[in-house]
Amino acid sequence: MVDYRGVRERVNVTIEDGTITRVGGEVEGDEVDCSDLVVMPGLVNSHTHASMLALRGYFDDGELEDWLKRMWEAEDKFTDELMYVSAELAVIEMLSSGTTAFVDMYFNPNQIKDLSEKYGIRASAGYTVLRGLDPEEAVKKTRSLGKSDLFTPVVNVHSIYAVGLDALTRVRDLLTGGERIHIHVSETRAEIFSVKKRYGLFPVELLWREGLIPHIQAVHLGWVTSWEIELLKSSPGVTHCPTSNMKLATGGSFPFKEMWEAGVNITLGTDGPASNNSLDMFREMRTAVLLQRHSYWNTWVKAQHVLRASTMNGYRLFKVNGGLIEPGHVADLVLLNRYDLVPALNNRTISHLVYHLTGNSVERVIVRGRMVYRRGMFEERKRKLVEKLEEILAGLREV
Amino acid sequence: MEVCSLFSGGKDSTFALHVSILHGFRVKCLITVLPKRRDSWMFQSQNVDFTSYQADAMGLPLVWVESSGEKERELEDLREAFKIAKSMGAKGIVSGALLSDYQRININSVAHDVGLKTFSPLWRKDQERYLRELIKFGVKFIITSASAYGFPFHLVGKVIEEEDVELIVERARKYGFNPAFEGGEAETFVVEAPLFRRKLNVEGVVRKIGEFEWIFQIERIH
Repeated sequence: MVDYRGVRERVNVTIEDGTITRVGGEVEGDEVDCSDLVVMPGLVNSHTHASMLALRGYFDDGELEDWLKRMWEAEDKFTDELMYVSAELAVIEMLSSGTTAFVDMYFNPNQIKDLSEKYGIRASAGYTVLRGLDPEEAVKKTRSLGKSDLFTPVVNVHSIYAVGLDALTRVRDLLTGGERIHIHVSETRAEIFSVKKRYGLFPVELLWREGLIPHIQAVHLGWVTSWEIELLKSSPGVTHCPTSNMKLATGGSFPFKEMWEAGVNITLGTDGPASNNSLDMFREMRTAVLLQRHSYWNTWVKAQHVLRASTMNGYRLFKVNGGLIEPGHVADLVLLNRYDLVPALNNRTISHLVYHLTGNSVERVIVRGRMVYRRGMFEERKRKLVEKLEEILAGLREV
Repeated sequence: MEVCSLFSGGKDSTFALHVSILHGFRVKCLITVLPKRRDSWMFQSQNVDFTSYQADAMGLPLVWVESSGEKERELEDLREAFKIAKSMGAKGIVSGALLSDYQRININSVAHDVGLKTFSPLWRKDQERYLRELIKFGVKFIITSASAYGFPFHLVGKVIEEEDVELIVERARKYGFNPAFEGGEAETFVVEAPLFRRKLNVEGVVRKIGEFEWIFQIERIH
């Protein structure tokens, strides 16, 4: 077994009521033979737009502003059925590549909740304040989704530049307890200067002034200034999406080391399938390290950092004790084909997870102690969904 | 990509320019901003009027832009410089910003307005290592001013060697100044670099301005 702290060999992991109760030599209860498998904590995809799977490959070569325009035009044609089929395929892809929890921003959180319970994957989603949905309605509708063992509502706000400060502060005034806002922040150069011009402050400074940081999961932060990093310490988490940032040529540089040293809870996300285009968190971990090394010309960010960001830090964002294989942590586990980790030496296991493997090595997935995926189990369903998706897309002109 | 490079003649702008060339960028011009005040927030002032010698040594066209050096007006002066760069065919601006977000963000703000991209290859690089690598990669520079408590002032006016770098690093650690002089602790003038066609011989005088402030005034370059 392996988590970001290291590797242990030939141990038994005991699970009771969805939680790890013992890690060691004991054998009790029903057994699952994992002798040809490596066990790791489940991966958290902290930012995606699952239903955008329908737009994967639709427009790959535009910078963010042009890209977004094309996406919004295409999304105007989306039906509930198209969103559901796309989200279901995305859930199957995520689960079968080792993702046990994801945070989604789109227009169909009711469907995400339904899929989360159907497939047994943790999810956080909510209605998005954007184009026509006002803050009061978004918060009310998001709350009405209700929390379950697997699903947590989150208020989605597209961005400061898209909705304006007034909408954001109205959301803030409606929040109670531990409710959270999931929002794109400081993604592009255009964004930070338009916000500065309009409000006199850079985006994170503005969120700080408005007392929003403790509620904010800020996604992207490629153009965050040095003096804003400290302000993010009280955030439940920030999310880095390296592939999407590079693909959309946003040109910033996520200050991973500086944020880590400041004690900010860094998580990782793939972003949506239209801007990545994969939902595989193994690939995202690898890309995150490579981009840091390419940008900063040093090897400070290591495999352990991104493994922790994608496991323990992600669970922290969900306010769930998870991401480590130890008693008291939720039994959200991924079982990998041992023979894909070659050469199979303990001191190389974390390296293999980040630099070598992809989600194709996932054999089984356990969430809350329940086996929710075993290789091949979704093949038939997937085939039907793909056919359905293609049929719907064929009926939509220019998508 | 066609670029113009902000160029003060110091080590950072020279190295950033080199890296941009190694990236395959085509350099349309160097831009030297001449601030009228020594305490400019954005631009180096010491000896920048000698950058024409360096531009000549590299065979690159140089654009001079005068700036008031006043904090509020400097960005307008920069805007004029970037407009010239754009008119010369540049699509991006190269800068030697190391750690100062004041510099990086302001450069980006103006570049964004003018419609230019930016490239800051030295951004957030390890400062000690950067200083050591400059020497290792063949960038030779003179300290033209220094104003940090604990700085080895006997190095002012001297071409910096490897052992000088170690002394600077040691003092920087001890007295808490930035070893690459990001906070304006010292300013530099490059006399030799891999892309220079010839070495510049610099003559000048060292002056002690105050207890913790020394300058090297360049008088002649040949």
